Amino acid sequence: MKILSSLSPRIFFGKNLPRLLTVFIVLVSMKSVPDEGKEYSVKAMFIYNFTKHIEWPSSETTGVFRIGVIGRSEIYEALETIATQKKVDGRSIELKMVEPEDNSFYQIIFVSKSQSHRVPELARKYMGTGVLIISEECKHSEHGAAINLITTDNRVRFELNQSSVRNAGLKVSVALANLAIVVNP
Amino acid sequence: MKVIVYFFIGFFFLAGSYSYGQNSTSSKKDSVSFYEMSLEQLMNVEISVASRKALTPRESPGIVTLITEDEIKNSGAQDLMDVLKLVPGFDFGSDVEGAVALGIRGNWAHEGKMLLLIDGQEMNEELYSTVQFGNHYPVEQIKKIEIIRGPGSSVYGGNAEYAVINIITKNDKDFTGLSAVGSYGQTKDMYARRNLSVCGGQHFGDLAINIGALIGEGNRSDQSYSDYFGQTVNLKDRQVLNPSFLEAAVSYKELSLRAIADVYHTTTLDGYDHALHAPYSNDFTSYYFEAKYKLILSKKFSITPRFNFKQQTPWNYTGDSMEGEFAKYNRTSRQPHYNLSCNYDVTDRLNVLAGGEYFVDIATDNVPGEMFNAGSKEVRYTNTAFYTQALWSNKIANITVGTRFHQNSQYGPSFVPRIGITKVIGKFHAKILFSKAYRSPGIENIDRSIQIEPEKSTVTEFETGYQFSDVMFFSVNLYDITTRNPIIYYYDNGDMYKNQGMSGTKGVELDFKLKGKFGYANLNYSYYTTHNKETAEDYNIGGNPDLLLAFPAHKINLSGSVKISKHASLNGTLSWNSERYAFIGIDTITGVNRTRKYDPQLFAGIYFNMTNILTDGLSAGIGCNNLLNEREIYIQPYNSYHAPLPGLSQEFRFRLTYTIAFSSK
Repeated sequence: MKILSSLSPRIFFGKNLPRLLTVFIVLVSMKSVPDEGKEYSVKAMFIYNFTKHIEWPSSETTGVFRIGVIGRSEIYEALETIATQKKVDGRSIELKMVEPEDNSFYQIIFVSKSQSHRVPELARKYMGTGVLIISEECKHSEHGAAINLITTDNRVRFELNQSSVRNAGLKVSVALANLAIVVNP
Repeated sequence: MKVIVYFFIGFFFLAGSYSYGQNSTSSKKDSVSFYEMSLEQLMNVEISVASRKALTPRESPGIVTLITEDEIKNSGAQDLMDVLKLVPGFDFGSDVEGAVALGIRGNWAHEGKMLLLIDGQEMNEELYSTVQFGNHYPVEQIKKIEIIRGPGSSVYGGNAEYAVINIITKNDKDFTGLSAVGSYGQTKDMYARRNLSVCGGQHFGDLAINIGALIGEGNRSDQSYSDYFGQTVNLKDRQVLNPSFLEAAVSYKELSLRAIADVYHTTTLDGYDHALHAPYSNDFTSYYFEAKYKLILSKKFSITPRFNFKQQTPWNYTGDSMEGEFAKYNRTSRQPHYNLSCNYDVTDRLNVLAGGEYFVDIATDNVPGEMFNAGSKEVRYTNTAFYTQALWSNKIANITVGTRFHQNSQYGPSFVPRIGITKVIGKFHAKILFSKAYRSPGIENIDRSIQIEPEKSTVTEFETGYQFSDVMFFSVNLYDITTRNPIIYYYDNGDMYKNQGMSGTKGVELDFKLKGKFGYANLNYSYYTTHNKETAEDYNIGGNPDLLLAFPAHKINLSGSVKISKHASLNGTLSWNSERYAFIGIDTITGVNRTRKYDPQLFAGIYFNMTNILTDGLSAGIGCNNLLNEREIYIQPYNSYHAPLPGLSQEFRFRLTYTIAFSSK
């Protein structure tokens, strides 16, 4: 049968078979590394780290630290993991899926990709209220969220819209600004 | 050619050793707990999008082109052909009866050699395995196109011998709302197309609903066509391309249901060889249905049962014709398709995908008094296939090993393995790919030529690339394709097929991308040759052994977008191809084909885009395609008495889009 000849490893790989096997054995013997590269785990950790570099108005610095997520996103699960093991300035993190029409106060509102068209509207809504709006892959970064997470070359980067930060009534550290791609300085 | 190969191999290893040394210094950083990382450290973490199974384009075991919604929109593309023409190694040729289809890396890829997927549904019709291009698919609804410019048979089966074009349309995960697009193209004497496209998506908790629709009218050409025997006819308004395309999808958690109705009405005046006295309908009607459920048994293991059904009536003509010049053809294929796949993350770095499928190709002749060559009104062929793929991502490389075994009740077994080794080292990446691929004979191939066998290809590919910065990327790839027993169409008192000799090409493709605040630019170059390769006689040009019929050896594409303001961009495309060869007729004295050399051509397009005009959600575009008014022609890539088919001349284009956003439920 023709298929038997196709299946023969020697015919398929030719004289390179021993070399390929050697490479394969070497590779198999190597230790695998832990998987920390999940996109939304990294993005969630970015959000957690932002809290160390942002100054909220003094009226918003007590009680639980509230993060709202607008739109379906895997980031919710990743933030949940962080919320169980981290605190922000000694405050517990409370996480909630919210609607754009929700008027409750959150220190951070994360707007998922599917809702990114709502970012300009949300930015207007929360102007001067001390809410940090974070978007992802948002094309409205120039007139929208204070921070926009983007993915470039398999790595997460962020755009910082200083005009939006000021409009929101927040202050950011110089260290954060130095790491960011600055939009509307 | 050898010098180029050695240069790039040397370049790759030098770069690899340099960058690998750099990489090893970061091992200390890796030891920091992920949840203790600072922003600086997080910025160095390489991410995988969604999972290790979904590798990035630089890592994936294929030569890949990705085209985004923005690139399509900005370019002013009103047809999938506009988009695919700019892909390295892709070009269009003509079949018969007005059909235009792809050539890939110099090889004719019309019947069963290129798989087109729209949201996972296989668009190829099952009688001849063809895909029809020309004002057919809803280009305005595309979110992205992932193209494997090489074999995909071990994963995708017998229609994916040379390439896979995977179109993903917009859905509620990207946008909740409704978008309507009106597009219009006008040549000097007639409209090129006038289409209306609507799509929308909304979710209510875990329930998501998505729809898309396209209805329109278009024309293949506004020029005259001279057939193989010297008769000239004007194609203006007589070779129409009228799409009606409707797609609806509902998903609830891991269950998804999808249905597509694709009614594509065309007319042909060019016919098979002689131009016809009048245009006749040549319709392609397809219905697709899919039900899929992903059963997640654990975080590491899932099983996905899937059922697909498609019914297609392609190349359909049921009327009469003058002097019987255009024969009735009315055959319907049905394919119930059962698939069960298992996905197992054996470790964090080892993923195994395995599955089996069973499908039946059934065809019925609907013309009274006619039947298949098998002597019946219905033919039926069963297929069983098993496939497996292992992806192992380790510190040295990503290694993909895959196989597919396919047993058809008529033509027997096909077995295709592949192995791909890919590596990203800092700014460099490299891929070495070795694949076997096959083309399954379609229902008509089998019925008309009972001895037909699957054709088999062996493809070797090597790619390396360098990411100069976040905004600049360059890659180059070399390939070698050898196809044994290609299935070739010929005419002998009816459509016939034969396995004939060998075919194949080898070549190089270069791709350069630049993106910045100004906008972006994409430049690519492709080259193929048949030098030192055997070529099936029907693809050959006499006197030029290194080139095949229809497709140019060299092609350069440039596309770009410049932001003029926050809401406006100016966009342009340039496409240059080297000389092409065609058979244009027959010498009545000697009976030998007359060959014509077509000079190099330059096609240019310009497009101006504006968003948020007067109100949020309203955008418009205006531009000109074929700015230099070149005579666009599609050449038949095999020797079968069809003269080059003309396309559209200079065309002015307009587009108006209105989008309404829904609130999330």
